[in-house]
Amino acid sequence: MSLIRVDNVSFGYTSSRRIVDDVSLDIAQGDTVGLVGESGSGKTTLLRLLLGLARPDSGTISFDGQSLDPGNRKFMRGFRRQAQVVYQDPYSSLDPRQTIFSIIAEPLRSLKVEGDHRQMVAAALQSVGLDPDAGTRYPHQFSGGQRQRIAIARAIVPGPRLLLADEAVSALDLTTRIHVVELLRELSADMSLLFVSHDLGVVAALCRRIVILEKGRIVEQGETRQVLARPQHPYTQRLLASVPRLSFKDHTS
Amino acid sequence: MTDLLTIRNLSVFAGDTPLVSNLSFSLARGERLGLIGESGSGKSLTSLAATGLLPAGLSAKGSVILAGQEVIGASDRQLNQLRGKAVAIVFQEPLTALDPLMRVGKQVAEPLRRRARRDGRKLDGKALEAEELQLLNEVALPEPQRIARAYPHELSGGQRQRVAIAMALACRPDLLIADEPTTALDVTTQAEILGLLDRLVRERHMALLFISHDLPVVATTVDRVVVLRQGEAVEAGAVADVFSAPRHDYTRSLLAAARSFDRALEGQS
Repeated sequence: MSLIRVDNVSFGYTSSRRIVDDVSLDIAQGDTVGLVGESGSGKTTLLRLLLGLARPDSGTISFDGQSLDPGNRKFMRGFRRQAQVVYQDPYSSLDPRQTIFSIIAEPLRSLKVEGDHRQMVAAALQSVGLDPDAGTRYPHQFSGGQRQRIAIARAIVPGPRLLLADEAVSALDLTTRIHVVELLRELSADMSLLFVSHDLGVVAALCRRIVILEKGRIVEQGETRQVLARPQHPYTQRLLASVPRLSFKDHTS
Repeated sequence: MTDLLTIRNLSVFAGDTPLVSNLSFSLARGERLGLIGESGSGKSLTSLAATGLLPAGLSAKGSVILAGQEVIGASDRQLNQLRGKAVAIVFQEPLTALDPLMRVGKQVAEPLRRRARRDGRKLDGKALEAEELQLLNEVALPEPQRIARAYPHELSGGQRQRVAIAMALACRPDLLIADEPTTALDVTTQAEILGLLDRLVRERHMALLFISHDLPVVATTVDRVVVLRQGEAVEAGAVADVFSAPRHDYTRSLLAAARSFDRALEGQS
């Protein structure tokens, strides 16, 4: 059953050039999907469309069977609680003047979620592997990886069904990155994940399905294993061939 | 073979806090060395210390001999003799390395004129323009004439990095330091730039000091590595040895992380 469904969506900031061009994709309930593209591929614009932050010029997006209409405030309030996002840079996405508790509780306040916020924040902190008393501290007291965990805690605290991650591990060191990928993998057991990234290796490690975007168009999509083992489109082949591997060669010869 | 760069017991301090501690390595013509490390490892500070470019407030101890000249404690006048000729640097972000208000041709012309002055030649007008275009051509930029007239913002990230490489090469340096030169680039562009660096370093028989956090990129680019962690070298050796039989736990954890993404790409998990 599809959670979010995109049918023939196009979008452009000017009438002459489409940034997202006739895109169709489907994220099933509980699935993990990697959206891969290079700079200018339209992946961030597509993410904005999926979040209802921009309206498609043509085509439709539906969430849980209902049309995603940014003008429908009642629908959007429910949608915002069910679809949350984690951004790339944990240094700029966390307000330096707020405590961690206040940062993580923000979606609960703005979405007017009922219940014990302290308890919910404590649970979110625990889910991302941080100490409950982290709540009284400030972002600068945490490392990059810990900050990204805080950003993830803020995203999962209202109990979303869809987590959208925009290059969420790209700014992290390798040894930190692998732990945050592991965390996202654990969390994806309870929610759908759309993982936007330029990094094929991370997508391969995390996502069951993969969507390859080039210049606003989907050139290939399918099960990650199959696409990576037998890439059909020349662009996918080139992308895969460009990824440096841990092999080494002798330059003196 | 005499070394181009010899670093002995280099330490970099911010006040009393050591950011790089007792680092030693050397590099001869034609050699390629990688400095591997995560954020805060001191890899960029090492390259800045090696060229006398440490920001104010940081101090260096130990010895850095570049083309026979001691860099630590040297005056800017002495260092200017070395910069461009003995060593040149390519930084991570070409958008900040280039002047946004100056056409690319003019930016490339500066180090070219500098080299001509050094060689006692006069270089201007048509001759200068010809050398500009030749240099842009050498870094495989398409339509050098158009690129020379363009401003940095009119170029793609990969093209900008090629311009930065062209400027670094303009003075024919013996040692090229590349500090995360492909980190800001797309993976297909990265492959092109790594190929370009590989060709240029080989053709000109330069030494290459390649700084990166990306193990696969380092593995495909250099022959020897130094693994840095919090300012200290934890391991050094030939890439093949260090990557196939790491001795230090930190190197092992780095490799394990890189391998897991590598394996995922191969369809194993």
